[in-house]
Parts: sequence; C-alpha cells; structure tokens
Amino acid sequence: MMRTDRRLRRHSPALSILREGRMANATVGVLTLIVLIGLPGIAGTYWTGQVTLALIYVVATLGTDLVVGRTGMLSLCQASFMGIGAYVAAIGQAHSVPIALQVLLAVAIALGAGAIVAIPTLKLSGLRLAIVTLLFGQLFIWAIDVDISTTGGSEGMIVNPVQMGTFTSLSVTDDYILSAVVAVIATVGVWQITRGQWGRRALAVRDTELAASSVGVSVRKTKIAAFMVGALLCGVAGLLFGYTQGTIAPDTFSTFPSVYLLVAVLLGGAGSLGGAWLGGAYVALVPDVFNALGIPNMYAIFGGAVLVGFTLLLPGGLASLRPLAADVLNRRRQGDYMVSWEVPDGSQADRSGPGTASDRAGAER
Amino acid sequence: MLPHQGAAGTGFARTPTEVGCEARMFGQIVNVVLSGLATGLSYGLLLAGILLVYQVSRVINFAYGEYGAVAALTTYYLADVRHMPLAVAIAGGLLVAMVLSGITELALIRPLGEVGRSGRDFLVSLGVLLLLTAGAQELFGVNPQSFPSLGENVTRKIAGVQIDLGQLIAMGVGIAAIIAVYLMIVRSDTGLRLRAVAERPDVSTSLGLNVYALRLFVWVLSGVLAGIGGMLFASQLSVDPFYMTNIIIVVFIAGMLGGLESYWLPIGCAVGLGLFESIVEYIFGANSGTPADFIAVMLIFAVLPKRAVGERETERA
Repeated sequence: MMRTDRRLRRHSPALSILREGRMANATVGVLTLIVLIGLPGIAGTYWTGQVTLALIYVVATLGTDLVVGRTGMLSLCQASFMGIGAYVAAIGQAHSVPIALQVLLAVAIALGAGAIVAIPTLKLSGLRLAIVTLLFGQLFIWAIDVDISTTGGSEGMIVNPVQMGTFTSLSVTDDYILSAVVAVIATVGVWQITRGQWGRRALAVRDTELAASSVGVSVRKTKIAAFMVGALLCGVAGLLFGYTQGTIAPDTFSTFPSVYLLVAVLLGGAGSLGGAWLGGAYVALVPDVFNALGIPNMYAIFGGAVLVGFTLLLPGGLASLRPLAADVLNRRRQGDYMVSWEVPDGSQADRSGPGTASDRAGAER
Repeated sequence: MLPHQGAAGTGFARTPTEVGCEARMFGQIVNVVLSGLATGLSYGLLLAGILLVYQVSRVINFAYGEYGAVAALTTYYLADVRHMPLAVAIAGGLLVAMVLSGITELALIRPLGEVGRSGRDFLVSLGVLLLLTAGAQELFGVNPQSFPSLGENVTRKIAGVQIDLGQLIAMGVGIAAIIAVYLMIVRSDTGLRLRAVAERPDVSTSLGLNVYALRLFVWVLSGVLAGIGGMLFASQLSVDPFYMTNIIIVVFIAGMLGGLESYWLPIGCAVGLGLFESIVEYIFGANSGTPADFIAVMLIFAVLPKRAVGERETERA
C-alpha cells in the first residue's frame, strides 16, 4: 500500500500538469521564442523569408480564429481584410504617404470593413453568414478590378520598399524581425483578450446565443467586436505582407485564400493559439513543399482533403492531439497503477482504491 | 406620352429619327428584360437543386456549383477536344456531375450522421469545392475555354426586336426544369416519399422507406440540375474551373432571401435577382452587378426582421 501511494504521489502531479497543459504551453512558448530569435542565424535567406511569410499568416490566422473559432461565425472574407491592408501599403507607398499614416489608414479601413460585414451577423449565422461574407470578398475583388489605374487590376501592384531609420524592407532579416515582433504581440494580445471577460462572452455566444443573452451578454457587441478585431489583425497581416513581399495581386486575397485561412484554423485547431501558429505555418510553407515536388496545384487539393479529413476525423485540429495524447498517457499510467496494485501475497486488491477514481475523472475531463 | 407627340411632348408629329430612337430603346429594354429573365431562370434552375437537397437531407452543399463547372468542362473536352457529338458530350458532362454529387453524399456527408452535423456538412462541402476546383484546374488548366454554342449569338427578329436564341433556350430550359422538379415533388410517388423523408426521416425509416436511397436519388438529381445550369452559364460566358463561384453565391443569396424551406418564393427571388442585375448593368455598366447585389443584400438584412430571413436555427462553425 505504501509503495502504491508513493507511486501515485510521484505520478499524479505530473499528470495533472500535463492535463492542464500549462507546463507544455510554457515550454512550447519558450522554445518557439528561442527558435524565433536564433532562426536568422541558422536558416539561409530563403527560409528566413518563408518563415517571415509564415509569421504574417500567423497574424491573419489569429484574426480568422477570433471570428471562426472563438465566436463561431463562419467568415469567408478574411483574406479580403488582408487585401485591404496590402493595398493600403501599396497605394500609400506609391503616393509617398508616411508609414504611420499608412498604418492608421489600414487599421481604420479594416475596422470599418469589419463593422460593415458584421451588420448581417446580427441576423444571420452559419451558412447564410458565410454567403454574405463571400459576397463581400467578391466586392473587394470587384473594387480592385474596377479602378485599374490605382490598383493595377488583376496584374497587381509593386510595393515600393519601406525605409525607416535603420529598418529597410529590402532586408530579409529586418522583415523577419518586424513580422516576428508583430506575430508575438498579436499572440499575446489575443491570449489576453480571450482569457478575459470578452473571451468568455465570445465562447458563450458561440455555444448558445440565447443562454448568453439571458445572463446579460450583449451578443450584438460581442459579434461586432470579434469581426472588427479579426479584420484588424488580418489588415495588419496584409500591411506586413505588402511591405515584406514587395508585390501584391488580387488572387492572394480572393475567395480561395479566405478558404485557406479557414483550413489553417481548422488544421491547427479552432480556438487555439498554438493551432493558429501551426495553421500560419501551413499556409506559408506547405505550398513550398508542393512547388519543390513539382506539383504546385496539389496544395489546393491537399487543402480540400485537409478540410474534409479534419472535419470528419479530427474536428479539434492538430491542437486536440495533445489532450488526446495526455489521455492516452493517463490511461497507460492507470494501467501501470492497476498492475502494481498487488499485495505481497500475490492476490489482487480492490481496483477502486485511493487515487483511481480521481485519475479516471481527470481522464474524462 | 401620346403616340402623336414628339419626344419632348410638343404636339408635333415625330420625325423618323425619333421613331427610330424609340424603337431602338424599346428593343434594348426588351433585351434587358429577356437577358435578366434568362439569367434569373438559370439561377432558379440551379436553386431548385439546392432546395431539393436541403429539404430532404438538411445539407447546404457549397460544392454544388462546382459540379456544374466540371460538367461544363467535361462537355467542352468531349465536344471540342475529342470531337464527339454535342448531345453525347452533354450527356457525358451530366453523368460526371451526377456521379460527383452522388459520391459526395455517399462517402462524405452520410458518415457525418444526423446528430451534430450542422456546420460540419458545410465545411466538408467547402473541402469538396476545393478538391473539385483544384482537380479541374489540374485536368483542364486555368485558361477560359469557349463552350460549344447552345444558340448564342444566333438572333431572330420577333415583333421587330432582335432576340438572342441562346437566351430563349436558357429561359425554356429553366422554366421546364423548375416546373418538372415541382411536379415531381408534388405529383409523383417518389415526390411523396421525398416529402415524407423531409418531414420525418425517423418515422419514414420505421415505415419501410429507404431513406438513404431517396437521399442519394435527390443528390444525383441535384447533380443533373447543377450540370444543366453550369452548361447554360458556360454557353453565355466561357468555361474555366472558377466561373461558377460567383454565380453560385448569387444563387445561395436568392435561397437565403426566399427561405430554403419553400419552393416558389426562393425561385422567384432568383428570377428577381437575375432581372435586378440585368437592369443595374444596363444602367450603370457591365461590372456593376456585384456591388449592386451586395448593397441590396445589406439593405435587405438591415431592414428585414430576423425571422423574415429564415434564420430559424443557428448553425455553428
């Protein structure tokens, strides 16, 4: 008996920490930061550039996740908000608008667009909302095509390099540092927002609007705020995209890229910060893999397969694998515990001994 | 304006130039209306398939439009590249659309089950849309191709007005398909079974109806409608893997405005949207349809109460 208690004391705290995931989160966060800081020295110019793109998509995926994953509104125009930021950068640079004003303009226009798209969310949800957001995406592409002299139409635009003090967007390392700083700030910001009162309101609205309303949560304000903050993050991502990539084209911000952002959220795991990072990496890096294999079209096919496969088989995305692994580990530990639950005379004792029930309850959680 | 008055209503007899202008104006208005009706009825035909699937299976299939695109691309390939007779090519295209639609239901939607499916079915169909679009891109390329003529650019003078034969064919096919689907639902034994399944699938099963087979039938039928709609639009435009995306968004909006639970009201909305687009494009130019649709939809949602837009149940992502 004493031996079993010692085993329990030795295993239970570690298991509970694993279950809560705090240590794992902290470890992953610290490791990510170390990799981020050391990457420009390790990776070459090309891969630093690709990771920069991934970091930009992390910001966009975080914005999409706020709307789709945390508030439960199916938006298919998030790439259009990115496009707003990118075109503000391109047109602003072409007209020598100060950078600070460009940022302010991008933020203001993205917020305004988010508010406009949010209007139907007050009356619609699910597919109906998705259709309206798709229509907004079409409207954005129409706006790009209608004024070719300003936007370059389907040919796109070149974004003039940004020079600000020692920072220059022509330097891959500078672009990387800027994108990494914005991605970390966005992640911390979203973490702060979602762990607070607003995050709980958003979850309540996502799960049941009626119950949320009954306890005084303003469904209207929560939805509009989610759309506006989501649009803001995507707009900032677009701004970064314009500055760092040098050229933009409407194809990057049309309906299908919006679907890819949705794929990124679902692949990583809706409502998960780590999932948003995985999703951002997926959108930026997986096309490269297919390009290297000489099958660039396979990215879209793979995206469709991911959407279908994850919806059918792993709705919680990759982020749900860790709790699953913790559960498996927990059960295995329980198995060890049961095997060891033997008294010296060789007979097996009652399995409902101390510790078993709590472990089982933990596994169920 | 009285017939004997001039353009400015001065009471003088009309000059031949004024008469010619009025006749031209009349001809343009007739053409705008006919073009709007042809587009609207093609929207209605496509919407009939969406309504069938939604009412029987409770699924919104976002890949629906892409079945039409793949059918049109297949028809183009068989007719123009393989030089097969047009009728055979059209049959081949429709067959592909039927098979794709059936497989979607059988392999991807059915495994989701009945409980907790809401929202996930839409995501799966969005995945199918990506798969089909990318697959079509891989097989047929991204460049727009001209679809075999179904009477476009062949004009007939009726009552002094030049009318495009293609528009008349689109209108005829649209009306015939919409009425045929309605009669099938209301008058036939299969329609009766489908209505039973739509109303109470569990009771229908216990009474011996093969719910799965009936749902599969509806999906296959919707594939045919998507194929026909896709070909009608392809003959007016050109065909590539993406051309149905914009069209299907308008069709879904018509369904949303009219409500997916009824039949004639959403079909009427589809025809109305076609007419609205045609009139707006006549007044404001060829590219004004998309912003006009968006503004109209936003105004409608701003004005209509929540229950009027058919938002009875909340589906979550």
